[in-house]
Amino acid sequence: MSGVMDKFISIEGIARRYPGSSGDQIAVFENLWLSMSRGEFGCVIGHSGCGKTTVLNILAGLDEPNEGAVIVDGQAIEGTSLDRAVIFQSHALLPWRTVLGNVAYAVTSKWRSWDRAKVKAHAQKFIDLVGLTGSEHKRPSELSGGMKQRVGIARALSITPKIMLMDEPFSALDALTRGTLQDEVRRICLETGQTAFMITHDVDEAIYLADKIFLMTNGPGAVLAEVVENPLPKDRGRTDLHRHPLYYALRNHIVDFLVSRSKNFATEVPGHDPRNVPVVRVGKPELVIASTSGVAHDEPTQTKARETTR
Amino acid sequence: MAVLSRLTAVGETLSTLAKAGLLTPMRPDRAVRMVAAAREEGLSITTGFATAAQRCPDKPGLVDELGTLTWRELDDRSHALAAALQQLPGGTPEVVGVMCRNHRGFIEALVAATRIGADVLLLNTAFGVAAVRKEWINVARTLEVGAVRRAFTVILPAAAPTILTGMRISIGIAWLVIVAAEMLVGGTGIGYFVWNEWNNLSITNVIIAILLIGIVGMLLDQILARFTRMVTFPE
Repeated sequence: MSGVMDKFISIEGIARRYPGSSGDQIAVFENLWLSMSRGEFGCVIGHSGCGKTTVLNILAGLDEPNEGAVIVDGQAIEGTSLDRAVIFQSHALLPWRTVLGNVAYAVTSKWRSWDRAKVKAHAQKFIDLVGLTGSEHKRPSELSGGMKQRVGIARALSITPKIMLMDEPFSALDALTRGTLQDEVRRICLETGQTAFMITHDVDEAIYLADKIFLMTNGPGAVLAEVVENPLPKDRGRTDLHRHPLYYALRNHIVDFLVSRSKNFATEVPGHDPRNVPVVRVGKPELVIASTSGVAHDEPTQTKARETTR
Repeated sequence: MAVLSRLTAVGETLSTLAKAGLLTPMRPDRAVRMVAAAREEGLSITTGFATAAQRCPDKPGLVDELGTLTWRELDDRSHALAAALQQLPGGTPEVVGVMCRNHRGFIEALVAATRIGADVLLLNTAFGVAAVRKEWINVARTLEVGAVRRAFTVILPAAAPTILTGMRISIGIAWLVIVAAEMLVGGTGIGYFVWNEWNNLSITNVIIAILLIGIVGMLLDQILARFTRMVTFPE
């Protein structure tokens, strides 16, 4: 039983191919397997063009795999659904509607029979949740980038989805706003036990938010190389995150992957089984061993240097 | 008969204008070539380009951000494009879709398409056509919004400014054409009134009518401008 419940989201052997220039098919990825349990926060990291967005679009139902299936909560998905809310990179608010109007649009889409007062009260609850109280009647053009994305988050949450899908939601924001929004998203996800799937380029964002980090190799022909479990405690805070003894081990592991291993993963790991992707648990011993080897001899100083520059 | 007398009236007016020096005589060879060009072109919206290329080939015909084109250059470029269109693998196209900003390419494509007798479908984005953005459609899709509701809540509001801008441009042209047609057909309307009063030598009435035409045109334009402003959304 628990085996079934383990996989709240299960991506089973999906492939997505696009027609190439000479008529043949170019596969963005083939035979991709990925699973997540309920309440988990998953982050996908990989270089541009590895098919991260395609995976998310398939999960959202906006795109279809050429092969394979996606099972959410025991059911194969077919097209888009109100169970899976998307937070778009470009916020995608309807500019002719107010903040309240944008959220209410989502609410009325889910509960069509609700009367106006009920819709408004429900929408207001989520506007308050993302800290936009007082801006309900502003139009998106009157909001800052961060506030727009807050509306996007409120809209996604207002339909109480089973999964929240986020496509680089904070990449267009400045560092300060990004930080506060990450805090908000983390708080909301922890409070509501929301299952979330996020695409990001930002290693620190992934470490702060994710329970599981999915590392994808370079496309075309991308594969899910590793699932890294986040060893940091659930109650981690942004300010002292980097002081955790495992933080740099984790961060270095991911950065190493992105810098070198993602390029020639296929040749270096010939026996990679896409169905049983290795789960990596970054632990303290690894660091100790790594420091004795010649290659990683300067690892501690590197860590030190990073700390001082911060 | 009425048409004939009107045509003679036009002839007289022209000769009067010529005598007054308002119409400058041109070189006879150019006049002949202009007529030939007009005949070749057929009477269409682009006739003027062909005749102008004969009449004043070296005068600037078009100025855009890429520079200036003389009438001859414009004519040659359109000709080349028309020839290229005719040599398309599928044969001469019957319909040409034009989608470009407001610059020389738009004019050239329009002239070239008319020359090969193709219908022109303007898919122009020159007036800031807010193509219904894919992301808005995606929002509607992820919210499982049905086709009808999507049409009214996403597509129509997104396209409304464009639709009304299009209407605003069209109503100006329509007003222009109506007045001109009334002058030719006669019988009713302000166009006929202008013509009639001109024949009556009642210049005051003509001037009043002209002013009235202008005011009505302006009003129509402003009404639609107001509507456009109402549905325009800032981004």
